[in-house]
Amino acid sequence: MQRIFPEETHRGWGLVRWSWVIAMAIVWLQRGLHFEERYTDAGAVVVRTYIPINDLFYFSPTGGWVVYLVLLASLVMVGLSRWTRAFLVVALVCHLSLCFTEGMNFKGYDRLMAWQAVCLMVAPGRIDGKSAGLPLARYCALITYLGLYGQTGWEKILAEPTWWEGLPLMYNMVHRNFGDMPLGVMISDVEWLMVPMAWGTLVFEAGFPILYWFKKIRPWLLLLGVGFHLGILVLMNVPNFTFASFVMYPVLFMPREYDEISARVRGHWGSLRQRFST
Amino acid sequence: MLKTLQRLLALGFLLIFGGYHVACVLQYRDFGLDWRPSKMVGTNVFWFARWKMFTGLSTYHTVPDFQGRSFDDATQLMGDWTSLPMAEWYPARWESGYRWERPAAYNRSNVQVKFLELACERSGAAQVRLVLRKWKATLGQREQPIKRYSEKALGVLPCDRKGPTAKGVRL
Repeated sequence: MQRIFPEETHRGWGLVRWSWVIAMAIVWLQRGLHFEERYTDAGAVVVRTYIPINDLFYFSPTGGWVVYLVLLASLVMVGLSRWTRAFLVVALVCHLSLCFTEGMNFKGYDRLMAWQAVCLMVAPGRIDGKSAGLPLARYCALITYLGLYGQTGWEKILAEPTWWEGLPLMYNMVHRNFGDMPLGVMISDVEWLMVPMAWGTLVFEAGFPILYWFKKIRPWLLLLGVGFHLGILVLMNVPNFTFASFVMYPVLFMPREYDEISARVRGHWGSLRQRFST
Repeated sequence: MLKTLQRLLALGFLLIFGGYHVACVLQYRDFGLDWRPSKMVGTNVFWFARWKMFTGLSTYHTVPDFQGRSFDDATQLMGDWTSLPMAEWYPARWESGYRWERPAAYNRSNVQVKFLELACERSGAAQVRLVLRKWKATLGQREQPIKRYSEKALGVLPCDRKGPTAKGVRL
C-alpha cells in the first residue's frame, strides 16, 4: 500500500488551484452576458436532455442569478484558500446545476473542470503545494488526462480514417463556430502543412497514455501538450478548452520533475529580469 | 494505523474514480435520435468522462432558420413564410453557435419545440417552422457564401399549441 500511496509534497498544487479558479472565472464571466436567456426560464427550458434535471428543478431569472453569484463568490474563496474544500463543493454544485439545467451546451471543458474540482477536493493539505499527503489527487488527474487524450485520439484513428489525410482538421478550421480564426482559415487548404498537423494530433493524443509512462519522454510529451493546446488556441475558436486543459498540467509532472522545471523557469525569469533592469 | 486506513480509503476512492472513467470508455454509445431519459438507467450514464472532440469529418455548413407566417384577414389565407431574427432576439452564443444551432436542438423534436415556442412568443406569428440549410464548406477562405444549398423543413408549430414543459420546481 505504501508503494502505491507514498507520502509526497507536490508543489504544483497551488498553481493548479489558481489555474482552476482562473479557467472557471474566464468561462463563467463570459456566460454572465445573456445569462438569463442561457440559464433561466427567460429562455427555452429544454426537457429530456442528457440528465433530465429540469424535471426536478429549473431557474427563474432571480434564482439563476443567485446561483451564479454564489458560484463566483466560491471561486474567490477557493482562490484565497479560505475553507477551500467546502467552497470547491459549493462551486462544483453551482457549476453542475447551471450546466445541467441549461441542458444543451454542457461542453467538454465544463466536464473537464468538474473532474478537476473533484481532483482538487482530494488534494493534500490546503491545496497550496506546501503540505505532504497521499498522491490520490495526482492519480485522479492523471486518469482524467489519460482518458481525455487517449479516447479522443483512438476514436479518431478507429472511427474516422480521413484523419490520416488531414481532412477533418482542414474542415474544422473553416467551421463557422469552432473554426473561423484568421490563421486557421488561411492554412486550411495548405495540404503539406495540414496533413503533418493531423498526424501530429493523432500521435500526441493516441500516444499520450502510452508515452506518458516513459520517464525520459514525459517532460517532452507534456511540453508538446502545451504546444498542442496553444496551437488550438491560435487556430481554432475554442479558447475555453485551452484554458481548462492547462489547469492540471503542473501535477502531470512527477513532484521532482516539477521542482526541477519550476527552478529552471525561475532561473531563466530571474536572469531575464536582471538583463532588462541593467 | 490511521495512515493505513487513509490509504485504504484512498484506494477505494481511486477504484471508483478510475472504474467510472473506464466504464465511460467501454460502455458509452452515441445518443440515438430515439434516446429518452428512461434509458438513463442503462449505459447512458457513462458519458461524463467520455471525450470525443472534433473527431468526425463534416464538409458542410448547417444552419437552422426559423420562419414564421401570419394569418391574413383580408384574404383569409396564411401569408408567406419569412425568416425570423432569432439571433437578434436570443443572442447568447457558445463556441458551437446559438443554442438552436446544436444538432441536439434541431434533431430532437421535444427540444426543437421549445425554440419554436420562443419564436412564436417573440414573433406573434400564427405558425412557425424550422428549416435546415446545408451547403458545402470552402477551404482557405473566411467567406463561406450560401450557394447551392439544400433545404429541409424540420418542424412546424401552430402558435396556439405548446410542447411538453419541464415538471421541476421553479427556483
